[in-house]
Amino acid sequence: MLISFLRTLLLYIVIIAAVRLMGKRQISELQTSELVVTLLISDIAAVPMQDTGQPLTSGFIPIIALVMFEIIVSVWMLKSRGFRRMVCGRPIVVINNGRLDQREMKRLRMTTEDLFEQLRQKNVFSLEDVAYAIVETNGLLSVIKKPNRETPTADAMGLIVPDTGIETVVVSDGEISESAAALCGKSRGWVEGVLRGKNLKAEQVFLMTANTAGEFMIIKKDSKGVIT
Amino acid sequence: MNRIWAAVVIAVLIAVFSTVGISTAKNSAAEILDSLDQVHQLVEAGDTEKAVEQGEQVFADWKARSRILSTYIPHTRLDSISGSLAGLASLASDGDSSSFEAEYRRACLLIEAMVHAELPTIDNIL
Repeated sequence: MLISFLRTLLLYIVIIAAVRLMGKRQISELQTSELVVTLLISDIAAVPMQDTGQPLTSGFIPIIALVMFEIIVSVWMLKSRGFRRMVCGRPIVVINNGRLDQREMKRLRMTTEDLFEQLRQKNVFSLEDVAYAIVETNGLLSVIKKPNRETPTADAMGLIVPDTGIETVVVSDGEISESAAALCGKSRGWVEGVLRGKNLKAEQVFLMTANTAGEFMIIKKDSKGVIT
Repeated sequence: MNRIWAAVVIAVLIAVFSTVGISTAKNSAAEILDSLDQVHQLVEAGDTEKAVEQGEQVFADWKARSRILSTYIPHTRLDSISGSLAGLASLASDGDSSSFEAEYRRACLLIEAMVHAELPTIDNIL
C-alpha cells in the first residue's frame, strides 16, 4: 500500500512538472494535439500507479516523451502556418454577414442545437443579433454582433470614464504581495501605509485589492464588512 | 526558447537511458548465460558438487543484477527468470538430468526473451 502511495506521489510530481513544462496553453483551452497529450498522460500515469509490477520508468519515459513531442509540435506550429493548419485545422465561419452557412455547419457536423447552445453561452439569444460566428480550432464559438445590437460603449455614448488601471490582490490571507503591488504601480510601503491608516496590520486582512488610481478595498479576516 | 532546450535535454536523456538500459540488459544476460552454460557443462561432466555451487552462484549473481534491471523491465518477466534459476541448483544435485536440462533451456529462453523484448525491433514496436 505504501508503495502505491509513493508511486502516486512521484507520478503526481512528474505530471505537474510535465504540464508546467508544456506551458500555460495546456491549462487553458486545448488544441487537438494538446487534448491528445492530456488524455494520454492521464492514461499512461494510471498504469504504474496501480500495477506495482510495472517499473516507474514505464510511466515516466512515455510522459516525458509526450512532453517533448508537444513542445516540438507547438514550436513547429508557431513557425509553420501549413503545419499548424494540418494539425489544428482552420477556423470555420458558420454565420457570415448575418447568414447561416449550412454547408459549413454540415462539414463541422454541427447541429442547430449545438450552435444555439454556444450562442447562449456567449449571451446571444437571437440569431438576428449575430453578424459573424466563427468556430475556432479548439471548438469554441466566437461571436461578433451586429453594430446596432452591440452593448454601447462609453466611447460611443461620448462619456469620459476615469482610467483606474489594473486592479490586483495586494494582500491575500495576511500576506502582502509585492509583485502584485508593483503591477498596479504601488509598493509594499504604500500598502502598509494604507493599512496603518485604517489601524490594521497585514495579518488581520483576508483580502485587499488596489488599482493604479490608488483606490483600494479591504476585507478583514472573519468579517463580513468591506473597508474602502 | 527555454522549452526547446528542455525538449532537447529530454531527447538526449531518453536516448542515453535507453542505450544504457539495453546495454545493461544485454551484458547481464550474456554473463548469466555464460555462467549457466558452465553449470550445464559441469552437470554433463558429472561434477554434481561443483555444478550445485556454480548454480547457487548464478542465482545470487542474477539477484544482484535483477535489482538494477527491475528499474525498467517488468517485474513479472524478471520473477519468471528468478524462479527458473532458483530451481537449477537443486535439480543439479538431484541427478535428474532431464529435469535439469528442461529447466536450463527454459532459463536460457527466458533470459534471451528478456533481452529481445528490450530491443527496438519491428516486432516489439508493432
